[in-house]
Amino acid sequence: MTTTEIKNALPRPGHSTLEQAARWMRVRAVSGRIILFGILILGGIWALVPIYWTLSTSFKTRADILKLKVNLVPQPFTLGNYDFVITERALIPLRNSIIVAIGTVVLGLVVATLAGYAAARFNFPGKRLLLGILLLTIMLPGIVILIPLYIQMVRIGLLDTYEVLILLTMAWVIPFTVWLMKGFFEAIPPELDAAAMVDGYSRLGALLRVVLPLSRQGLAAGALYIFIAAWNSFLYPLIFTNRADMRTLPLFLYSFLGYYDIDWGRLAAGGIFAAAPVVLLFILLQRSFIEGLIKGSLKG
Amino acid sequence: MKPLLREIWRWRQAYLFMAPAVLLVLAIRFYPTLDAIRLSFYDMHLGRPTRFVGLENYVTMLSDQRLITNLRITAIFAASTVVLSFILGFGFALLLWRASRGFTFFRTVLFIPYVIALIVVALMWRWLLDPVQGLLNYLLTSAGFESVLFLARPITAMWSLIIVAVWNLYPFPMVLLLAGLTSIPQELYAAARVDGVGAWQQLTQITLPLLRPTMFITLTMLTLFSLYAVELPLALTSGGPALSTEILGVRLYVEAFQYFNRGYASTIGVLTLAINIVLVVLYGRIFQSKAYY
Repeated sequence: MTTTEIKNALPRPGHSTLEQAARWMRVRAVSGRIILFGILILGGIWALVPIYWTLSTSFKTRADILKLKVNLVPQPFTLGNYDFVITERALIPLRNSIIVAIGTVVLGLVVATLAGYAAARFNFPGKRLLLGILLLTIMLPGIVILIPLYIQMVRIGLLDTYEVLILLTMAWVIPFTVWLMKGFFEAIPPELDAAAMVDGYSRLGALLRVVLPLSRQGLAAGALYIFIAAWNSFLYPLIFTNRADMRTLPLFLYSFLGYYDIDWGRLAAGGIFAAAPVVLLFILLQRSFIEGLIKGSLKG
Repeated sequence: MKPLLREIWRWRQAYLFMAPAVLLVLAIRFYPTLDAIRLSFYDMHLGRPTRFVGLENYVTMLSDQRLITNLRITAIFAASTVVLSFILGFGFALLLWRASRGFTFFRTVLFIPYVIALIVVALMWRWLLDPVQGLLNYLLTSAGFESVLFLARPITAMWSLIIVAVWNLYPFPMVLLLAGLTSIPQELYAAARVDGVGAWQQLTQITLPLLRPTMFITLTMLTLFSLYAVELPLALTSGGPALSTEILGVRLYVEAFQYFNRGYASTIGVLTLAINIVLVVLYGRIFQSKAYY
């Protein structure tokens, strides 16, 4: 109850009783909440309209799209635009995207878990320096390093391979994922590892059998963060793949954007197809993910 | 104090655990950065032998009119994107912080644009902004306005790019600042209310000073994102029309991977790196000059 609230609650001309004053306070509190949620709903609309419009377009017939009728719900409703996604044209890019994303998630999590655990549990000489090196790399411009990397990759013949896409994405996501995992491991009492080692486990055994089962949330957050980066990556495949059969989904979509006459229904279907896995996973894991981001970012 | 080598041997397991992550980052991010600086002193045209040219690329850069335009466009793009997404993110963070019920639902919805691939973001908005069949032009013409060729005119193309970038980026500052807000002890506000301090003053006297470190991190990251943006401008406008949206990252991409002029592209990269360092130092000065605790 601030002084201004009291002032506002005081009887004013026409409000002669305390009851009316109390009602006035309630009206102010309720209207405050209405305005708050009103703005949040507007924000939600701003966030979702482009997505909804693309989703709606992906279920419209070509004739309906060309008629320029703006109907929010597709009438007639068709799944036809998704046929090209399900035919073999998109299957190879889909396969490539899955291989690169899964490979990056698995390898990236192993590497980040080991480093995060060492950073959380050991006080070795040079720890601050090594963690500083990891953090500093976030500051390095992603595009600049691609020039010398490209020259090197051509030289050792790694163009058009899954390895190069996985390695590049891993190097990009590792610094943040290490911080993320470190934060989660620090929340687990070190006595547990000690007890496990007394029982005859090695360090690695303690990490695998005791610490990791307790940090499932951290693993989920780390896995989702890496998956999003790998699945959405567009610049690395653009530069490091030339062969059509090595394209990932984002690159497959990009090749359509160059056409003079874009078939928007199909392209919308392709876009939804590429975005859906990430959005659904995010909605499933959003609590761990956002809280993990928060933990990781504030410590950095 | 034991000799260092014995100390390192004692901690060998820790180094072994750290090794893969550190080596990967050194090999794929640090070393190539140094290599790019080295390449900036070479002439590397396709079909010509590579030769050392000293500072020639840097001299060329000084009289490169197109690069001066790129820099001006990058400044407009980065400043607008950073400021707008920061304000929008901060606004939503404050609202979410105040909303106890429905907090998780709105937090999830408002975060979604950030997880969508930039290529998909670009195609969604190209469809919305389409001159003939786009939703925005449908609404404009229905309301009696002329339809706008958003991506075909320099000024509207630039603003479209900024709006789309902000649509994709604002959840990032939102989440970081929300984290900062929730870590402020509630007692401070309770005490302020007892002393009769109004909402506005609570914001300026308590919230903003305590958020300084978070704001610094957020602004630094946003600046990096927008200075190095390549994917979105490439997919949305490809630098066009008439180079009006060719920000530094796009110019670098074009120079290195379309003209195969890799020495000069590296020189532009060194310039980008320098700008970035200057800005981060500047932010550090502004935000960490005085901390109120």
